[in-house]
Amino acid sequence: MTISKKVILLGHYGVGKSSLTRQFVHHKFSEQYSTTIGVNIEKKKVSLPDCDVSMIVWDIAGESSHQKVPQSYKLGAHGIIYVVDLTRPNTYEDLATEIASLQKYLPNVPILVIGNKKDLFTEKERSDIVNQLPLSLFALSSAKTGENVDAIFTELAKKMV
Amino acid sequence: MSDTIVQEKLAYFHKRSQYVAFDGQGHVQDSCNTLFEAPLSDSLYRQVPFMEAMQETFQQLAVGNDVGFMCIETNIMERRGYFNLQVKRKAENHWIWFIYDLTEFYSYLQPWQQERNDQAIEGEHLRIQQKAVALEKELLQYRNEELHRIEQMKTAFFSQVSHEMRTPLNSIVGLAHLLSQQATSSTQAPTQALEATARHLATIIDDVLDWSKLENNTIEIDLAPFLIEPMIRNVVEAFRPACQEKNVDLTLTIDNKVPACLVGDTTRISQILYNILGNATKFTHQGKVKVLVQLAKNKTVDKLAYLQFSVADTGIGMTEEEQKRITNPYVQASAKIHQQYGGTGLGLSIVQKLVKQMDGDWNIVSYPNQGTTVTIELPLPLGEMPPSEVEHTTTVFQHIQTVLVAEDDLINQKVVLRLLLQWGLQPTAVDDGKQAVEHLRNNHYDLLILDYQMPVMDGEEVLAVMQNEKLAPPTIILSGNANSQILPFCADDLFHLVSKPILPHLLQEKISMLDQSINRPLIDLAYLQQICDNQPELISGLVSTFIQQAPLAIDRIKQAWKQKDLTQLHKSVHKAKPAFQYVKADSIERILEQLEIETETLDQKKYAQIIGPLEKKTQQAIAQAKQKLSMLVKNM
Repeated sequence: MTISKKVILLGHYGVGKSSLTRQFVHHKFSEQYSTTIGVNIEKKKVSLPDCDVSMIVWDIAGESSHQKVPQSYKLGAHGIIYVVDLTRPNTYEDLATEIASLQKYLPNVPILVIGNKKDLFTEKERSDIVNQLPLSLFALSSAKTGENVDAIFTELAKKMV
Repeated sequence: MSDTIVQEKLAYFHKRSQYVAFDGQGHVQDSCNTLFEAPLSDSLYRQVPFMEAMQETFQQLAVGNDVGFMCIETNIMERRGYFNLQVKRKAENHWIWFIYDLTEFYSYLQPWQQERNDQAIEGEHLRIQQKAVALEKELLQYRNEELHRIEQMKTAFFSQVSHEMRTPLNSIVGLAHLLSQQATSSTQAPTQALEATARHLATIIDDVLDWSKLENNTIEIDLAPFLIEPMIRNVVEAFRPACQEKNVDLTLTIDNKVPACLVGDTTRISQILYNILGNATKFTHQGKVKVLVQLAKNKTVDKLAYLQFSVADTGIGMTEEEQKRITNPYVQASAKIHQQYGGTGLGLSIVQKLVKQMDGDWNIVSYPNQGTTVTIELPLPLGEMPPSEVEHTTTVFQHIQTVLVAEDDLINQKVVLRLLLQWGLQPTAVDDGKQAVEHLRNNHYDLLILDYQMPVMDGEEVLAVMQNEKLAPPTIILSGNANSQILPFCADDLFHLVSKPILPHLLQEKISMLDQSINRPLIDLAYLQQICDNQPELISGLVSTFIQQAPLAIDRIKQAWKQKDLTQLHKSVHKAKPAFQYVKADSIERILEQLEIETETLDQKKYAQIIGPLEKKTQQAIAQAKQKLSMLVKNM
């Protein structure tokens, strides 16, 4: 049995949403930053023990607040991945407010908060940054090395079914 | 609009758009197939990811409603592109899907947006860097403050230790001095050695303390007129016994162009000379040590004498490398020197800093086994000593006879009493500040010698009581940590400081200065004589004006204070000053300046402390002016 689920990726521009999507769907990474306009829709099947989930990933152009994202992009979303860039405090300064607002806007929709670009830090630096965050992260990821990428989408798939 | 235009327009949109009608299951009912072949055999919800994601939403859409999606990059039936998409529910089982292809515009839009985002991210990184720099700066500032705090603690520690060490040392120096005066031929040598050793120890303590003060820029240069020859001779003579013992010839030459009196800090100038001459005699075992004092380039410019002291010896000398080392604090020319000669290694560092603080210059020329010449150049203003002081070489005081000595250390007390008795004075001793105040209340003393740190009531408290109760004999304050800031304000300069250990000649000098301050005329007509070209009519006219104007000026000040009008008070003080300046009533001028400063906060208590002496002195000045006026009139 295959269940279709709409997943939206949110967060500031340049945090690596498109790179995470590309890594998840095509297992590819490019050092070149290419900004997204509007939405890029990709699809990938995730197999869970009881069913397959057809993940339709909406990689939405980055904005400093989800309020600036057109409402139609978020309509009918079953799961959210909110991405922050660990190298840019700007991308997580308002994290708590942003997540609270999203939960209000899309009640009962699971949200995973991800700290991306893990590969750019040492263990010590990462721990210092994570301790400063206003909200605990679900996971740290690296779209470049692929670390935790599949695990995050799989975990979201489990939460959505 | 003509049909042709409508057709053109339709043609333009037609090739970029598609219209698909489908039912509740997503099965295509109709399609123009302009962009892609709509599947007839399968549901759009299974064929197109966009439709699959939105199935629930579209099925819940109310009839007549629509929803639009701009800029969607996706695959529609194998066709990858950018689309604006719109879905509308037309009837219960009838939806239409309108697709508009933007792909050809995307290549224009994307680079523009890319540049905007790149710039924004770059700006964020720049702000982070700026924040990091600011934080680093803040950290540095904090570290500086921390270092400053440590330095202050170090200074406080040195001051405390120096006080603790100087007090007993004071006793040793004083007692040794008294012993050497009473020494018989058999005890003369050891008592002299005792005195020399005690002085040497005092020098080391002074060096360490001075260096800590110089490092923190807390050392003060106190300027006062002094006679150059006796000062230098005293320093040089102090080294004569040591030179005689080694058979080293010590000579002093003072060029006859050197002015007799200059203005400077004798303590610090002596300290420089002691250090240089100390080194010269220490490192010279045969030959000569020559001290030459002359004017640099034989000149005096703008009442400034460029005084040059040079000390040339035929001692062990130094290599160039050693010369470079010696100005570093706590460092000597070599380890061998330290083993052989001892010392703290601070002497020349102190000399260097002191000379710099006096805007002077110094130079050293040295050759191993040939000797060293150190030259110091100091710009010192020309000075003028009161005639009586120049002549005053004995210890006869004109006005001071009775002296109250307040000192808790009994040995120090004994030393001071013996010295005062030697100088023909009548001292009374008390052991603490409280007793001192009692004595001052009940007896008249010409002089108070007050230890600053005492039990029961310390010097500061005694001074406060004196000020409140107007018990004001001239006072010499003894302190282990000499700092002129502890001296209270006094228009007549009746408070002096003597640091411990007490050097007898310095104490004598201070008593002498105070003795001359007492009963000094309040006014001096020298300036009026100068500007009036000594014409008695003119001078007497101006003195009469002073006699008339001075009380009015004081009344104006009092009036302004009564009205609590600070602006008017300042104006009145400014207006009063010239009258007193003409008759050179310096002490009254100082009171006026103090009045200006102390009344800023409209403090009645401070005002009362100042206005009383101001009125009293003004009356005395007027009385003196009247006497002078009658003399002038007689001579006309």
